[in-house]
Amino acid sequence: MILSILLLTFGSALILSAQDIDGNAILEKIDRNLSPESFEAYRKLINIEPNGRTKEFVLYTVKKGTDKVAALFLSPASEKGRSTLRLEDNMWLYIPNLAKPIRITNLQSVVGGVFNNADIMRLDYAVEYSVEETEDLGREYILHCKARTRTVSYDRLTIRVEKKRLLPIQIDCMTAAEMLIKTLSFKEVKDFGGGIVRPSVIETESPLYKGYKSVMIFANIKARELKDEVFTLTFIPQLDSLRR
Amino acid sequence: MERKNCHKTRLLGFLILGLFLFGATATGQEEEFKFDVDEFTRKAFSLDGYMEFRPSLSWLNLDSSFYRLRYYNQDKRETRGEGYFALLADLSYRKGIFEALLEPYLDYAVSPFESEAEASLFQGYISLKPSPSLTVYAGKRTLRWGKGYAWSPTALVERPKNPNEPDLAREGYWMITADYTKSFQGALKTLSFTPIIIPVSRSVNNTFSKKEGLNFAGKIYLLFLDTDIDFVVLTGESQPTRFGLDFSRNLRSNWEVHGEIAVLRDLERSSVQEDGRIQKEIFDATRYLLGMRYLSEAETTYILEYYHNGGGYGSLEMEDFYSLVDRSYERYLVLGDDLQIREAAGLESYGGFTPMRDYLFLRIMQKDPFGILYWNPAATAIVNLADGSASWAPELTYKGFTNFELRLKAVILTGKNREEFGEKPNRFRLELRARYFF
Repeated sequence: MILSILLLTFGSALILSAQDIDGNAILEKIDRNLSPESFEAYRKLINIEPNGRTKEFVLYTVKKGTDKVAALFLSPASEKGRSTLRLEDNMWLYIPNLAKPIRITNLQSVVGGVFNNADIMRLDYAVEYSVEETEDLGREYILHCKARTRTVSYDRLTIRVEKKRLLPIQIDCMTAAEMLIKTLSFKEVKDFGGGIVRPSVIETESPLYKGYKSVMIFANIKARELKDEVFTLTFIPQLDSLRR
Repeated sequence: MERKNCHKTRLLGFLILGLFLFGATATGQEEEFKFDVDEFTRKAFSLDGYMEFRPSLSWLNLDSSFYRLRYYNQDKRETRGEGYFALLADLSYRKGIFEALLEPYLDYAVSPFESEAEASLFQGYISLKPSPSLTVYAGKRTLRWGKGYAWSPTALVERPKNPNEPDLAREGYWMITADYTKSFQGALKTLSFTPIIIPVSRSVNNTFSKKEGLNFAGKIYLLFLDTDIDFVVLTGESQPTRFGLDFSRNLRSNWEVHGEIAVLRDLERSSVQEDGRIQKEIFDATRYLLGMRYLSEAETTYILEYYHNGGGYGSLEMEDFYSLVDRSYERYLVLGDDLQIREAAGLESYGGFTPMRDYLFLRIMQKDPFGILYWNPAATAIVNLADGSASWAPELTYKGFTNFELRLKAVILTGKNREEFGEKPNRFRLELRARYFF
């Protein structure tokens, strides 16, 4: 009897506190904690095969506002000069030999491996997802998110959030039928300067690529004001000129 | 007591082994996740490019018109092996708003009978970029206009694209050009303007046109209602006026459609008459293309394009050409006179990539089949809709080794005599391409 009363009281408190929490506000805060609204950054992507063999890619990325992202491959030499541009839901790939941008989709992967274009060219989570349900687990929140449009790669996200710093710990990316596509694990929180304290490593595993793992490492994340014209098809071949 | 000591020793052993393994793992992880961003700071000078080795073996069609045109004075052989070595380098210098680029291309082709080396400058220009909105270029540049994958009717200032290898680097033209871009909020998001001046003389851009003079071209690009739209025009003293438009749009995130149309005023071409005479024809022509790119849930990409070449030849006109080749070849065999066959071989418009009017292109690419990374199988078909002859090209690419790319490709040509792909010099071709990027 006492146990039932305790459970009822505790359960009600959980639900009440969850109802009081604005999940979308948390999601927006997570976005700002991960990066300023406009920034530049360097990223290394490592594809790890089941036999331990690795393949690495280095990208320079710029983002402006809620709808503009561009990335330039700096390494390896076979990919150098490849650039991607995202303007809202429009996404293009520029290959130096081809010398003209072609439209690509979120679901493709310009590098192969577990990361796809949506992971590399991600807009803010709050732009693409709305929080349907929030759980308060004491030290963590669990955000159950639904894609705002059908053009988003993953229909549902379940985000485990560190309550104290409002930083993601793990994100499960799922289909509309709640089939797990991949899991992103956020690790090694680092102070990048300029008030940016965030995980510097994201590890990705997918049941669709059994035994494979991809890792994304961030460096030199800096707030930067950029002109809108940077995020245009005409400028894609010249992204390297932004690097200082 | 001894047993206790033995346990302690084992425990100590396990601890040391554990620490060693932990240390090794930790060190391994540190190395695995190491990212020294200073290695990637922008440098004033850079050198990039690739080296390529491309051996191939062709099974020849000895009775085809183009075999006769090409090898009429050589011993008949069922097969022909060839090797190609190529080097493409990009040497660039950047300082502030200034950039200079040199892109030389070296090619060496060798077969049991001949070898040929060629060096060309694909690009070589200087540019000034005072802001992201404006860039001015002067020198030799390769422009890639149009949205089509295999063909681009609106590519008015380019050398023809090979639909069998549309991704290959191509030589540019000497020009002065600029890109001016403006971004907006609303339905029209981007507006770009690209004006171009192309001079033609005996020594500059002499493959662009045989007529010397100054030419002007331009492109206006819009991103309007999430659709890429280009308006293009070319006019001047060397080329009759040509203009066109293209578009590309995503109907769904995994389904893109594109199209191009170009109107060519006073297009000039050589035409073989029924009696074998060669005449120059001048007429207005329209070229257009409709295509789509679709990505399935299984990550299979389909590219489908229909191309209408209004400047191409009809079946009867090709028949007249093949008859001319037959007569010229007979004349060479009987009299040893190769003047006529050399004239026929010089009719480049018949031997171009797609000389007739209506074609269908389909390319299917599978990414990471069975969840295995870096292996990419693909197959390409080009079908001549007038006669049903076709080129079928399965291929397998491997990109698992950093900076290496290996591709094995077979090309099978199907078609009878008097059909386009049945009259090509090869029936079957096997090619290995090994590229090293630096």
